[in-house]
Amino acid sequence: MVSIRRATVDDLPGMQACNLVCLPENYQMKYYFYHTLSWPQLSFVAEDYKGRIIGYVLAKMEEDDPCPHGHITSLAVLRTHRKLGIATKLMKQAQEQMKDIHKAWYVSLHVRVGNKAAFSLYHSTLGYAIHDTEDQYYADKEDAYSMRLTFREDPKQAAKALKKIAAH
Amino acid sequence: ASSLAAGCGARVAAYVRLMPPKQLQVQQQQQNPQVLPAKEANLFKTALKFYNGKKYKKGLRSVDQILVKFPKHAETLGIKALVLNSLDRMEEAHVAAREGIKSDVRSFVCWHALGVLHRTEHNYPEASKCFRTALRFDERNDRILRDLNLLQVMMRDYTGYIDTRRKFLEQRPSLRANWIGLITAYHLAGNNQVALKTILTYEDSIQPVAEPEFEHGELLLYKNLIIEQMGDMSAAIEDLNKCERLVIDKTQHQEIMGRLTHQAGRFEYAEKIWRDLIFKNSEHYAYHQALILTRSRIPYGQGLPDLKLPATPYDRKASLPHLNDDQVATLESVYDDLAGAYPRSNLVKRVPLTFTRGESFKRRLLAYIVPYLRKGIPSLFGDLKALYTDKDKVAAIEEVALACETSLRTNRSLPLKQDKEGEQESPSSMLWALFFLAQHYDRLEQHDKAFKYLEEALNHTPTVIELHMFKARIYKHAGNLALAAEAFDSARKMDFADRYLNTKTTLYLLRADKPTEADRMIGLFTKEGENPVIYLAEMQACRYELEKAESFYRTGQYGLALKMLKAIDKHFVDIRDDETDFHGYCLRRGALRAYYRMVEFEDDLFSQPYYVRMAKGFVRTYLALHTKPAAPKAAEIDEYAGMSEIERKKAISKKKREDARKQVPEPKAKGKGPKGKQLPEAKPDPDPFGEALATIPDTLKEASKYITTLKLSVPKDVEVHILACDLYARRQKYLLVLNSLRKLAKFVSSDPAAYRAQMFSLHTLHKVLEAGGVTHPEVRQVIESEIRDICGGKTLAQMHEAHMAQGPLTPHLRTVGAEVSVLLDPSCAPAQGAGLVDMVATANTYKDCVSAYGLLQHTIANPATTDAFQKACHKKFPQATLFAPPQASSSETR
Repeated sequence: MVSIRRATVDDLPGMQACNLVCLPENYQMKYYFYHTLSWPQLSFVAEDYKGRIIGYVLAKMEEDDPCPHGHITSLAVLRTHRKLGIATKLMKQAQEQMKDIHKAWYVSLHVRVGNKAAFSLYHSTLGYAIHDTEDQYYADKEDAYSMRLTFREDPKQAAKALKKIAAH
Repeated sequence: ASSLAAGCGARVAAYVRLMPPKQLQVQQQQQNPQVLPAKEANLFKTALKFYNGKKYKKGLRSVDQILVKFPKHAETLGIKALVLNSLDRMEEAHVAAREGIKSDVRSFVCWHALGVLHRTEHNYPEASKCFRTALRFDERNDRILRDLNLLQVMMRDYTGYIDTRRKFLEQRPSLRANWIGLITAYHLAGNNQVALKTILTYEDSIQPVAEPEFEHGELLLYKNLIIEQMGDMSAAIEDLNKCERLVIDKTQHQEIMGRLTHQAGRFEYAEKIWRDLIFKNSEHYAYHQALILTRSRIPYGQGLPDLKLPATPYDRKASLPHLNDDQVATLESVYDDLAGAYPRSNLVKRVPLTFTRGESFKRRLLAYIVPYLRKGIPSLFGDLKALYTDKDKVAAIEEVALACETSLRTNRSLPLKQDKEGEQESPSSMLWALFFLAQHYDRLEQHDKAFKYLEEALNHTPTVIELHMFKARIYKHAGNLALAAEAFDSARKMDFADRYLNTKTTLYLLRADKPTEADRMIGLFTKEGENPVIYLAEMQACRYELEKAESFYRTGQYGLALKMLKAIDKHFVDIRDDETDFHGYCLRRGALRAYYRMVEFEDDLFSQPYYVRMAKGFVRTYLALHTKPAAPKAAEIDEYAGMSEIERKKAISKKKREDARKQVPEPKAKGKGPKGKQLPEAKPDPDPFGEALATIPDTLKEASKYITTLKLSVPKDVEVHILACDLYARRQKYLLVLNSLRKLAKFVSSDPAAYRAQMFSLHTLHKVLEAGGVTHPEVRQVIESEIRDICGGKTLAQMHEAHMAQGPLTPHLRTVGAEVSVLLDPSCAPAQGAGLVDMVATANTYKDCVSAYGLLQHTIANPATTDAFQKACHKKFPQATLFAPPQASSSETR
């Protein structure tokens, strides 16, 4: 039985362990702390009945941008728990919080050009669009798609933001 | 995105100017007789500039230039110490700082520098003393005050911290972070009343906040936390109502409200809130727990532990209290309604399986598992595993799963009522049903049946990776770790791009004690040209390092085991140190509840499972080294014979350096972490085999350090006290043995391992007393009276008899029983050995027989009995390599 909830400080070691098992991009503990202590509402975990972290989404805000937006730092679900829609549910929760709490305009992420499963999750299931391609983004030189999901396109707000950008 | 973003650089790492140069000069002329002439004074300024600009080598050259002419100039020596500290030349740095203080004992620069050195070496108490001395000579130095306040909170010296934070607030009351600093200082110190008062004062001092805003909202919820911790529930609820409009984090607000109103017994109100939250996130199990409790009108806290705040409101692992039939019926209809409202929610369907019973359970179970079988979701078994604590449910699961199997075999359908007659299932449903049954029987330790189902599934579809992964699991459970690793590796070979498969193969290899292969395996996914061991240490991969340390321990390579354990220990030192970056940062950032939880987390850091496992590993390894000390390398002794002591030392250190170079391959290219972060180049390891670690003079003293930590951090951990008994007995600290025995007392009746430790310790104490090993009369008296207390007037033999009569005679207790019997009366060894052979028939898994086997081999040592035992085990657990006859095991494990 899997439970999906907000990540707290206590979940960070489990998230780090889950990340190390699943993904080639790894981070030190401090980086996880940085996320939770800055945006405690944005990261979510999926845990099994024993409280083991079997999936997580680590998310943040890019606040210095004239259009504040969310960013997905890392998303992982253990192979043993695939096909349950856990990644989708984690992502949707994080996205909601970005909108509700931080008034994000959109959310961005990077995905390996060759990772078909992840691309299909972001594109077909969650509605992200390719914004750009970044050459050799990953340590092993693989390219990344920079993808975005737009939350709001309020014309008034957009004009304001454009002015702000121009002023910069 | 990766390394700590710029915004987080709260650490004031770059050294800001110690004080304005003008002031410095004035002070020099007034107080310091060693005033520098203009040329050197300029040089001094340059040195400072270099230091602040992190150009340490240039800075060092400048200070050395001054010191040639003015070797006793204190301030210059102070800067030199700081520069050397940054260059990681600690010994020289200490010399410089001390020289400086000797020349001018009132030099705040030197005292501050010395404090910085101590801080670098993690000697916080000394560092704090130095900073305070420095402040005596320069009271308002902001830089030193900042360093001091950080140390104080790191050391949890809250009295000092509050004092310093108050100074900051007095200096700049307009700065919000200074208010927050004082508020959190009081709260962390446990002074909720003053913390609350300070918040109110702060709120009065600012313009009223009209619109919801993140930081302020967080402060309001933090205030509410303090009010709640002060114990007045209705005040907390009232406050929560008051602040609702201005709080942005509505989810958190509702969670707190739901919990508080539940605690206050306002069930209907609380229930509504929990329903609202389920609307937001129907997959949050705690929300369902809370709904079940409030709907059933069960008071808060019944059967649920009170959690620290602000963690999740209801404990994930707690089982629900018993529900009566009415409550169950009500909940069933609640969940039937929810299922209509949330058709895509998994938990809405899964949760009723926790509280329903009998026919209703079976009906719901079938409806639950059918979509899993049809869609081929491999985690079905993992999802239901939590139900296996209930025997009736296990039987029901088996019945339903077998019914599915039969129905699929006979007419290719699943026994669901609403299915149309004659509708055919796709063949893959059969596959997943077989997979489920294999896992089910594996869970019940019926490995033969598990293998049978698995084989059929593999014949059905050989390409499903999960089946191969599971094959490894059965092998592991059945006791053949080498085959398990092989099986997992064949799963890995079906998808080379999957890191999960790679990591798990590595872990299986470590369980099979193949560390070299494991390193090669995990190296496939770390960065090219980089030593995987170093990369993984950088990334704090505790799990891998622990498994490796434990493997080295099993194979008696204690030096290497200690090396791995040290690496893990360092991660925890680093995680503790990371805190320094966050105290200042969080005060400005404003997520105060998360900050508070972070401090609590760090306070409890040594109760983290990885830490506990590591520290126990240290104790076990040191104990093993005490039993069988590591010999210095034979080669070394021969090689250096005939040399003088000094030559010898030189030669050994040279050889070690060379060995280290051989051990660590030079990285071809500088490794890159995520987002291009440069990892430091690998330094040659001065102790590649951990020989230095394994040959320290007093291993028991080292072990004691870890035991002392564990006794504080996880006082309820039985194993800690068991290890402590052994350790203290060896160190002849008999009063501490008694202390540990007292801690063990409540576990003895239910835990054979605790009982064993108790009996062995008592036996040792008896023998020590008999031999007159305790001379101090009062200590002797205490020991005697404590033993009398524990034994209740019985002899050890009588105690043992009574304990064994109590039962239940599990294989574990029988093994311990035999061991204790032989300890108390060696002549009974043959009879006890025979008893152990009989025990095999009652064993559930091969693991039940492992320690008995060791006992027979090493203590009872009757070859015929050992042989009979091994044969019986092999017959019962044919897969377990431990009991395989020699020739078979060599061909199987390869």
